[in-house]
Amino acid sequence: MAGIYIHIPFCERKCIYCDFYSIEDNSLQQKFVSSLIKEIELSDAVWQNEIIETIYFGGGTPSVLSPHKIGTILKAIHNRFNISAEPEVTIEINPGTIIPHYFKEYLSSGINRVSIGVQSFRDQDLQFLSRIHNASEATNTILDARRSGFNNISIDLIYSLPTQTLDNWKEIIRRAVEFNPEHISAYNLTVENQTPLSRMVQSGSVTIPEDDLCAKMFRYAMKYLEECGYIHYEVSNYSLPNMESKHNSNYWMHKPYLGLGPSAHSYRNDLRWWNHRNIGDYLDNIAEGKVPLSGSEHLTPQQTMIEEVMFQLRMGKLDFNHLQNKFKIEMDPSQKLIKDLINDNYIEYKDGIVKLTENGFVFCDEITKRFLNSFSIM
Amino acid sequence: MKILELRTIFGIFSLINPASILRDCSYLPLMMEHIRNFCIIAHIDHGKSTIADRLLERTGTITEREMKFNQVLDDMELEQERGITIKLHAIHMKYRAADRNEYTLNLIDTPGHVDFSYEVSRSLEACEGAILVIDASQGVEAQTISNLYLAIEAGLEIIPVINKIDLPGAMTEQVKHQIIDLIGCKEDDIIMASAKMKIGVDEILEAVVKRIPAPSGNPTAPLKALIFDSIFDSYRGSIVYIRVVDGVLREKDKVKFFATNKYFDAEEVGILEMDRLRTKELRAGDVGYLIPGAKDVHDTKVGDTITNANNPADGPLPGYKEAKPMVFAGLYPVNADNFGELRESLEKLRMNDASLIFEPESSVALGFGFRAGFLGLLHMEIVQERLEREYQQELITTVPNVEYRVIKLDGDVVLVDNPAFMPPIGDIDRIEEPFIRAQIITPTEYIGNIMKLCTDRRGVYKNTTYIDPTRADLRYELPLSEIIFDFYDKLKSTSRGYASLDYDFLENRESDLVKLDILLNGESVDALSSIVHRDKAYEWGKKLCAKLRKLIPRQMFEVVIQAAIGSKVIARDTISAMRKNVIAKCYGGDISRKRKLLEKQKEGKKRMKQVGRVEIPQEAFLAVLAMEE
Ligand SMILES: Nc1nc2c(ncn2[C@@H]2O[C@H](COP(=O)(O)OP(=O)(O)OP(=O)(O)O)[C@@H](O)[C@H]2O)c(=O)[nH]1
Ligand code: SF4
Ligand SMILES: [Mg+2]
Repeated sequence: MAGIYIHIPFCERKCIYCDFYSIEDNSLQQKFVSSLIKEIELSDAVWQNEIIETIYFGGGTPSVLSPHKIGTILKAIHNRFNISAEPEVTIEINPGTIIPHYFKEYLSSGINRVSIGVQSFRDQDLQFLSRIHNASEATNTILDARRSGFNNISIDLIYSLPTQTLDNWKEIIRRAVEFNPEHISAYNLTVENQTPLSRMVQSGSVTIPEDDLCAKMFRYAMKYLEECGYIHYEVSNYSLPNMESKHNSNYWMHKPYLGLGPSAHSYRNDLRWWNHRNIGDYLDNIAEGKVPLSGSEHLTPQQTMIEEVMFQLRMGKLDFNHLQNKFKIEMDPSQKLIKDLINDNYIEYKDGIVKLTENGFVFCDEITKRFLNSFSIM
Repeated sequence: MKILELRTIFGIFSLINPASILRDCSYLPLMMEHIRNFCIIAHIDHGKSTIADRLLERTGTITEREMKFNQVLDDMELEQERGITIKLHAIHMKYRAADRNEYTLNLIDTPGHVDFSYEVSRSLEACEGAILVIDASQGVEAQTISNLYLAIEAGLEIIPVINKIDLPGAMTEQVKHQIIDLIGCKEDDIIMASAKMKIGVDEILEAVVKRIPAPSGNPTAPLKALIFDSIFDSYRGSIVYIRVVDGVLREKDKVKFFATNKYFDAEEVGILEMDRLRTKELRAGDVGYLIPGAKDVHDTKVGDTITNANNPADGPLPGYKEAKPMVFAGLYPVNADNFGELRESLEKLRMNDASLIFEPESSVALGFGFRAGFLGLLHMEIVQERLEREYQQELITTVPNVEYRVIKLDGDVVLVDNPAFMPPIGDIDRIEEPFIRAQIITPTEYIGNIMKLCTDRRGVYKNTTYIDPTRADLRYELPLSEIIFDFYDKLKSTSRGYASLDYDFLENRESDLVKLDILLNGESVDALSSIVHRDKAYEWGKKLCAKLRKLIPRQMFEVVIQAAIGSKVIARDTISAMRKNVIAKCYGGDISRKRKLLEKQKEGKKRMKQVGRVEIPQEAFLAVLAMEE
């Protein structure tokens, strides 16, 4: 079982907080698509032996490419790889880049899941984020997707914006739920290095909300979405039962995936590698018949273990029996850490399995660090 | 080696024509009259090591091509990196002088920094003369004077050299007058040089030959050799650098070390060129090395005298005063299991650094470690770095402090070099702290600034003299504790870098001192205790708490930091609890990034110490050092 990720490196306009690789120049689209198809053909033959269960168009903004182009790419993928009978095929789309009939075309080319970059239902927030769309466009896009027949819709939201109060956020998340999306991703705004936002924060023109408020917003999302029947299956991801993103879940289970397009990452058998984060280099490599590889890392067993602990805890649990079998780690027999964490209401623990509480999710990184520090093969 | 045997046989002829024999067959001069032992002394950075480069080149000890870097004698990685000399470096040269005779010159390059003056005083004992270097653009500075006095006290012939005359800012005439006033020499005695432009090199060499007396020992008397330095070699054990004063030392001789009362068979004897060169013997007047085959670091001691066990000298040479450590700090292994390894490393390092002293101690916060004494903060920093680099030790160091003399009510006197061990207030009659005599040399326009600085540091003004109309020599008495941290930096910044400082221990004096404890969530952290003057305690406590707030990362609970004198809390700060700690996204490139962070934290964890539930990073133990005014 494996996945394929396709990175579409175009956006109508760069958002101030974004550190994904994308460019605003659309003139290279045609060339990019034909290179991507070549990259698919250049891919290592081992991938032909895998059964591909998920395909994911991410970006950038995949919806700036015409559905026809997306269809062509999908066809090339089908030609090259062994696709399972009922794959999960997702496309990220952004309101403001899409016209209603696109959805029908997506469906007919085999796409069965859309992830909509809504971010907020407040114009003020959207303006702050320098998104190209407004709240009503966001609403319409969701409705269009549903009307066109999509029955697996994900909505992306961002909270902890300087323009938001806790009440604003509560309102946004309630609005999102009203659409009955199968999946919601709610991300705390991250100030990434070298983005316009980080410069604004540094210069003091923007003040990021205190951790205290961020934590309240996070806690509210967890609580409210759970009440509404959503399962909190990863720090920032919630879904109706059985509607998790299979593609993303595979990342967090160290399943193999092949990333195509500039900056895309791939993983297989302890090896991670990534493509050039620059469309020029990417196109040049492919023109020369080369894989557009930028770098790679081979994970030591210890590194694999670290990632696995981190992934598992981000998914709200830690399976000690599994870790002990797979990595031969030694646990403190007195279980002092576990007792402390239970006492402080960060985890529940039963039969070798740790489960994060709501409070535990808020401190997930800290807990990960503590578990890793307590293991003694490291 | 036949040659050496020949040499002894021809010893007699050498009286007739020494030059011919020297030229043909020997590394060592036959007669003491053709030996010159001298060192180069100066204030820091005046160009000692660069002059040494030129002498090495000119005498053919090293070719220009072999001169891979500047200050080639500064062969320690740290010396090259920092561009300063840390240790004395002895080297053997051959020089054919204008009088057609070939001379053996044993040169010792010395450090200029005040923390390493012990290296200078030890070097002087192995020499009959000293080249006193003065930077033409700086003039006479504090260590010019202090090192000069050391040399005069040791009875050395002084050759003043004004270096860097190539610099546009050279004040050659003015500096000449400063020197004449200082030494009472004639203008003609002063050599004008530029090590950079290779000016004055021959003049220096000729002056060494002509003005410095030959050594005056007795080659036929029982062996007496002074150990002026040593190193530890993991294969050969200890290697001692010696100046033979009387007699002859040959390989296989049974030698006795006076102070340690140990006996060895001399395994290898030789001279110090760029590498060690085995000569099998050293005679009165020579400088060289001896490998005694001593594997235990305690067997040899710098300052000790070596004699021949079968024909011993009556008694040892005067040796050296032990270096007086000025500051003390705790050195703890990051990983408690490495205590033994740290001890071994310290012992080996002490072979290389005679001024280092240490003894075991323990701390509630840090576990088992050592309290070490240093000559100053730079010395402490160097020791720490050498332990880390040369001995791969991971260390936590505590805030340095001076040694207090505590007189208890019952009359007992305790020396306290670790604030944590200060007796309870109720038992103390009075506390004395070390005062130093400071000499500050400065251009006159900065006198006002410097006086203000000294007053702020509880200094007692003594007097001012003038080296020339533009340069003053200020004398103060200051508590040592007030100058060890940032006094020197402040002095430099308040004088645009022109003032220089020299100091030596004066006496212990009673002061109104208190012990300041730091508590984290109510638990006292022994390694953070300090002793401060009562008038400064409040200010100090407040700053320390604020600094710790910045250095201790947020924890999952609130941390209250308090500074207290006895049970009285005088300052307080809090680190609020962490409210959230989770990154939002973990896809693609985020994964490796996040993993690397976790790996780093795991590494960092080792450097964290726990007091109660509070994790304290290593830097916090040095918080005081990083405190701004
Ligand atoms: N312009 C000029 N620079 C010089 C001369 N001699 C030395 N220097 C420079 O002065 C600096 C200090 O020289 P060193 O030889 O390291 O001085 P030092 O006295 O050995 O210093 P310490 O051992 O640390 O006390 C270096 O940057 C040298 O390049 C000279 O004649 N002219
Ligand atoms: S639309 Fe998405 S990918 Fe494009 S700039 Fe904005 S946040 Fe980045
Ligand atoms: Mg030097």
